[in-house]
Amino acid sequence: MKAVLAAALASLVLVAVYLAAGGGDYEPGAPPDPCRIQTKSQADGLTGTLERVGLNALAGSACELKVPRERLLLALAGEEDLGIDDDRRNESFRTGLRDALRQEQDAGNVDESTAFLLDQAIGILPVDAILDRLFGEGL
Amino acid sequence: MRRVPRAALLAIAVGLVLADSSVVTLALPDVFAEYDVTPSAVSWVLTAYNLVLALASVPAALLVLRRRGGARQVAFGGLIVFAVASLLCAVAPSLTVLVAARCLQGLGGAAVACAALVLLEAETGSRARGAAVWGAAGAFGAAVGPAVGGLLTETLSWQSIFILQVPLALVCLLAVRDARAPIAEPAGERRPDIRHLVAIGFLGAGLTAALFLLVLLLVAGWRLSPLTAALAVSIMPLAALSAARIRGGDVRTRGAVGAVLTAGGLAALGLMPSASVAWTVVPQVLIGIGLGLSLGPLTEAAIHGRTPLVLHGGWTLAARHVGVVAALALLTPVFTADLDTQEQRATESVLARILDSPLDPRTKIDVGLKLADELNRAEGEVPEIAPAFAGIEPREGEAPRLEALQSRVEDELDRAATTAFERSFLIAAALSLCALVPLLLPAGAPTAPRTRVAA
Repeated sequence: MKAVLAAALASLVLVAVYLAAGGGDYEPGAPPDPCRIQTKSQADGLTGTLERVGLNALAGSACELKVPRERLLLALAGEEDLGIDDDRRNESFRTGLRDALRQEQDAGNVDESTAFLLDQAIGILPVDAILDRLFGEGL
Repeated sequence: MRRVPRAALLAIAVGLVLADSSVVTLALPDVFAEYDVTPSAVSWVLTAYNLVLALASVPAALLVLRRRGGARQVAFGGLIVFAVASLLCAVAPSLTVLVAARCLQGLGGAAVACAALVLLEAETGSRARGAAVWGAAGAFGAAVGPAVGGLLTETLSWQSIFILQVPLALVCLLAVRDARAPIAEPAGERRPDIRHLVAIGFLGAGLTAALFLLVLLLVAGWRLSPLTAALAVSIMPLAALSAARIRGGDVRTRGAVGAVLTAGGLAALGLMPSASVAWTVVPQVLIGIGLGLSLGPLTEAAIHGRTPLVLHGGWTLAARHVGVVAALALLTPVFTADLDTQEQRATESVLARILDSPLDPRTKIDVGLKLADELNRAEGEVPEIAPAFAGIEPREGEAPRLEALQSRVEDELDRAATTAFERSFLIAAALSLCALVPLLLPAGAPTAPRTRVAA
């Protein structure tokens, strides 16, 4: 019986050491809360503006739909099913884009006529074309 | 042929059969890639062999008993079937043919393993010595199987594992041809030793889980080469062989100690603090010691004082492989589901790292597209990260940030792969602990012997 208890003690010590060293918490990082994301861009000019608009739109829409921003991006790219109606999802993303565009306009990064043209494009272009422009090879 | 080489060849035959229950573990990713099937389907390459071995061991033992001289005939036929089936495995054009050939291998293997117990008893001139050599050869084969399979897969191909078995099986025929006639059976208990057989089954499940899951984690999860993984997992059989030399203690205590140590090691593997082979060393040592202390003595105890020897030997083989199959059947859907979940988590966390990285948006898009290419190329496996980053030209001042992103992406993938195996290792630990139940029940069965058998 002593041998069994010694074996149990050795096993428990090993498990305790692994837990103390971070075992059990070693897992992929959780995506950030989309409602608290502060978007920054390393690029200047129109490229930087478009990145901020895209990321802010994504975060705003994900916040409204209560899903991680990354899952929304995958869903918009047709890689994942969020279980949300496509029209509602796309409309939420367009609203996010318009809000983000307004922020850029308020910050003085986009003039009125460019904002008007972009707003028209947001309303007319299919979502995948917008995505390609913001997050794809079209940038 | 002299007695020792004959006994050695018979031991090699037993080792070969038992090694086959785990030898393809490290080759599974290559088999998976070759046949373009799901991970669950590929696991049948392992499961089929062990299932047939579990089901055919007792019937094979009964076949040996049917007439005088049966052991030699059954071993001879078994080795021929095993060799032909091995050749079929090597040239199988599809997974279905491979699995069918593995079933045939299992049939031949069951015949060889059971008949060899009787032949080894005759060769060594002692029931105890014959059983000891039989048990040691089987346990050694099962333990070194993954390392040998990994070595062959990396240096040659997964098919070479099966090709090599053909001449080995044929050489063992020489020993069977000249084998001595079986010695007379002493009177003894005829009923199977349920207590020890159940414990063997649970520990067999623990051993399989340890080898199968660890090898998959190292190769498919942490992206180590089969050769490196083979070296890494050889710690377990080395520890088992060392522990088998430890003498003393009754078989129930050794079995209980073995179950607890194996469970502790498996639980630690399920709680890895990082994706480093170093963290697998101590758990492997614990599992190896646990199995080395317990499996051989439990096998001997299940045979000791019982007659006919070959039938009880068949029961121990069946019990062990029922455990192996149960572990594979229970754990494969668990880790397959967990791999899917973690793949999704990894995709999201990698995407978050890319979106939030302090890089020019055009570099981010470049990284994203190249990673997507690697992901498609990996076809469901963990993608290679370095090639995706190697093709990216960083803008001025971006190189260190790009390197940091690569390191973060690799870390996220390691975390996801490790987490995917967590539940399976913990379930395997619970399975090993279940061996305590039959061992700690009040005594009622025949007295178990002091240990002699090496694990």
